[in-house]
Amino acid sequence: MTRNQVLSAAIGIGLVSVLAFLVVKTRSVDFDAHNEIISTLRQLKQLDAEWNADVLRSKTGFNTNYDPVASPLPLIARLEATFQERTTAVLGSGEDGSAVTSAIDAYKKAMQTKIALIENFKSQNAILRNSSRYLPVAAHDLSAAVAGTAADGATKSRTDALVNQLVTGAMTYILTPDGSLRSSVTEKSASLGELSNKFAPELREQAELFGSHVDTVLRQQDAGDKLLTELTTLPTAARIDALTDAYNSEHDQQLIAQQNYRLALIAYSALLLAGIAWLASRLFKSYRLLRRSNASLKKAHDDLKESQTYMVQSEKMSALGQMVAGIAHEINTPLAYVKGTIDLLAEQIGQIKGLARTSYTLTRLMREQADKATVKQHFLELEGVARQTIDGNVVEEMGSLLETGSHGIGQISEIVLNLKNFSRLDRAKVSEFNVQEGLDSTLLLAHNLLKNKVRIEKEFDDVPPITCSPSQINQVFLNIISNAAQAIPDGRMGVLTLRTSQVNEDTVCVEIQDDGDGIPSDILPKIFDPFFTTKEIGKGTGMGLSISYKIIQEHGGRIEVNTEPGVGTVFSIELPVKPNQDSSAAETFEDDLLLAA
Amino acid sequence: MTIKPTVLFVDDEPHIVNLLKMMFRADYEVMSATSGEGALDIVQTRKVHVIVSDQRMPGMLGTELLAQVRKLSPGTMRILLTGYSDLAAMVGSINEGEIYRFVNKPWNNDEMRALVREAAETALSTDASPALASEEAAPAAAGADPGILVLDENVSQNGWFKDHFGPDFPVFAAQSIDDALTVLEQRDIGVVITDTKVGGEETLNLLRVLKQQYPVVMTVMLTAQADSDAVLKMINQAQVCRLSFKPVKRGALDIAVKAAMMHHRRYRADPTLVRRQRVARSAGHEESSLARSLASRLKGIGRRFGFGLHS
Repeated sequence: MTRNQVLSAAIGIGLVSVLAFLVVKTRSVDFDAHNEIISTLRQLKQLDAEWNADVLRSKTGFNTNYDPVASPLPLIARLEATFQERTTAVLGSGEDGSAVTSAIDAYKKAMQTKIALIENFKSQNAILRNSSRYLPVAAHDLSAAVAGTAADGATKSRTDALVNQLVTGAMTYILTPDGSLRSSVTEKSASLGELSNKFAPELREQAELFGSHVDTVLRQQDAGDKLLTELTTLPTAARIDALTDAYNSEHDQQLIAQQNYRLALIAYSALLLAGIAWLASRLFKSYRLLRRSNASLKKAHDDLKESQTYMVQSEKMSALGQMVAGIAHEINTPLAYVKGTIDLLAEQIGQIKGLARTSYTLTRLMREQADKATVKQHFLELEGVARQTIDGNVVEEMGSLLETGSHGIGQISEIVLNLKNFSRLDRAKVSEFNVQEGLDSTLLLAHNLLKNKVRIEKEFDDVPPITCSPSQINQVFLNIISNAAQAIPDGRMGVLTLRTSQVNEDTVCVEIQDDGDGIPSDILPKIFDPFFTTKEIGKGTGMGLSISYKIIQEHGGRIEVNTEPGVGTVFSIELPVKPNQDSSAAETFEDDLLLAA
Repeated sequence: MTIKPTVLFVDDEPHIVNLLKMMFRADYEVMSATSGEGALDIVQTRKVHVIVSDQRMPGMLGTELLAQVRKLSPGTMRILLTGYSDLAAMVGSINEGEIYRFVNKPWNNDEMRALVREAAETALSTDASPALASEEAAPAAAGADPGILVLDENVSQNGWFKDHFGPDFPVFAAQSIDDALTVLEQRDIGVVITDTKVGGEETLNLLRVLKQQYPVVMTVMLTAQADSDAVLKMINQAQVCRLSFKPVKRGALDIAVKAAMMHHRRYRADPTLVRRQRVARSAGHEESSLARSLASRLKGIGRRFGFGLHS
């Protein structure tokens, strides 16, 4: 990946993360949880109130058992657990210092204190209940015991009155704990104590038990009162309210924050949308630009292709034109003397005709036994014609003319045969081909170009025939050989060396070397480029070597050039004996050219 | 008994020279060579009246051979055989070889015989002239002050001709063939400078008729383009003295015009030499009414030159 791609990816991830963060933030307020918390708190408050009532009822003895007093505890614990859970869910754990957390702490402290107080109250009240329940029984027992003694009546009645008053006073105190009543009961209890001093020890013990129960009732009642007072002053409800308030305000804050996040999200989304719109417009613009440049590229490509087609065609035509001109000259020379010969022969026919005519006339006259004078005249005429024919060497001349003519026709036939060998159009496109024969037929074809200009040296090793498209390989040979001839400066005899060798069992190498001017190093890298030419405008298409390169490439071969300015150039062509895997390469190329044409 | 003229055939193809030998040996002293060097040896050792050379030969090209023969033996009539259109060689053989005819291969035997006969006769009747051997310009004939006619709508307005040649020769300009005829009627013209076409008309007809009637008038052809066939006609039908392709360098043009003027003076000095400027009769339709009207308009000019015309 490039630096830019990494940067783009990072920016993309950043933008999406911000979006995700904002979306999560807008969804973070859990209304269900909030409502649940609020209702849990309401339940807690109600439970707390009911609990207070239960405690009061227990105190006043409306409730004979303590279950209602103890029963809210598990419920409270459960509600607290639910609350804790929700709070954690809503606010997140470990969020200390917030108003809610301190409100929760305050509530818990109050609730724990209340629970402890109630526990304490329960045990105090149990003792109270126990004593108050036992008190009448103890009073009755005491009264009965006193009645059974030998004490005087006054003491007896006084004791009864005191016991009854104490029972009544203690019981009343339980219901209405009053300071005066308490001092009256304490006073009476003291009186009973004094009175009991007169009693027998067992009786005294009984009276002391009774007295201690009365004291216990008083003491427990006070303690219970004190605990109740404490209980009633405990601010659990207030704490729950405070908690609710804290929670509500927290919730409001969350709502406000959510609102803010939502606004931020909207703004951010708008921004993102604007960004995307901008990107889209840019994309559209660049798409249009791309389409435009694509269209112009396509057009340029088409034009180039067309001009390449044209150039390939014109290279073919120019090579063809050169070849045709060369062949025309090659044929023209024998043609010239064949024609001259035949014209001359036609003239000489007259002589022979004259000879035949005079001979026939003489023989006819002799057969007819004509008169001597006529025969002699004709005899002399024939003799003259015959001498003329013999002296003029007419027959020998005609023979030699015929020979010349037939030689000329032989030469023309040879040229035509070469043409056939070169083009190979009458053979399969891909066939076995002897590169040496190819070089020879190319040399004959290029004869006109080479004669009087270069001496040919052949260094042919035995090489196996290769499978290729012979006309194409010949085209390559002709191209390189004619380039070589052109590389040799006018006015001196150059040397063109043709070599064949076998590189390995799969490869054959053909080298075409000239001792011409060489290729300057600045143009060497361009020689295989299409349209590159050093010839004058109109003289070369610059396609020759590029087509040659392509042909060799299509055959799975290689073409290399080594050159030394002023010394010469050698083109090395390596060709596979058998075309590797793709034997249709040559056909393909042929098709290419056909298409191009 | 008249002496047999000597004809030298040069071709690297032995069959060609053998055939030509057979054709001509009855009436000529026939020599042959298969290379330029061999031909030069012969020209140096004996009198050759006519040389017929192939253009394309190993070693020395026909053009080079004929240019050397012109120097070694100016009286020898030079004929170039061409089998292959080679424009540069043909232009060279005009300017350097000053050849008599181009002959295309394959040739017609009768035409070849007629051509060689004509050339041989011309050579026999002119090679004694001392003017031929001289490279110097012959002194101008008394009272003659030959001028230059520039017949070319593109360059005639160019003051350069007047400025450059004015001091030596009268310079006249013509925009059309009609203008040119008027000038030719009224003035003594030695050299015509022209293009192959003027005012949309071919100049070849004019030049041919002019050459037929007044062989001493030399032509310098300046043209942008000409194919080998046109160049062949320039020699065979109009005996163009010099040919250059436009754009022409001034120095080259100066040399060409002065050479043409030298030839003009030489032919004027020895009117028998004009036979060497004979043109071929063109075939058929080209002997047109146009040619005849040109000829009739040119009738009056001959008086000036003081010799009889052959028609």
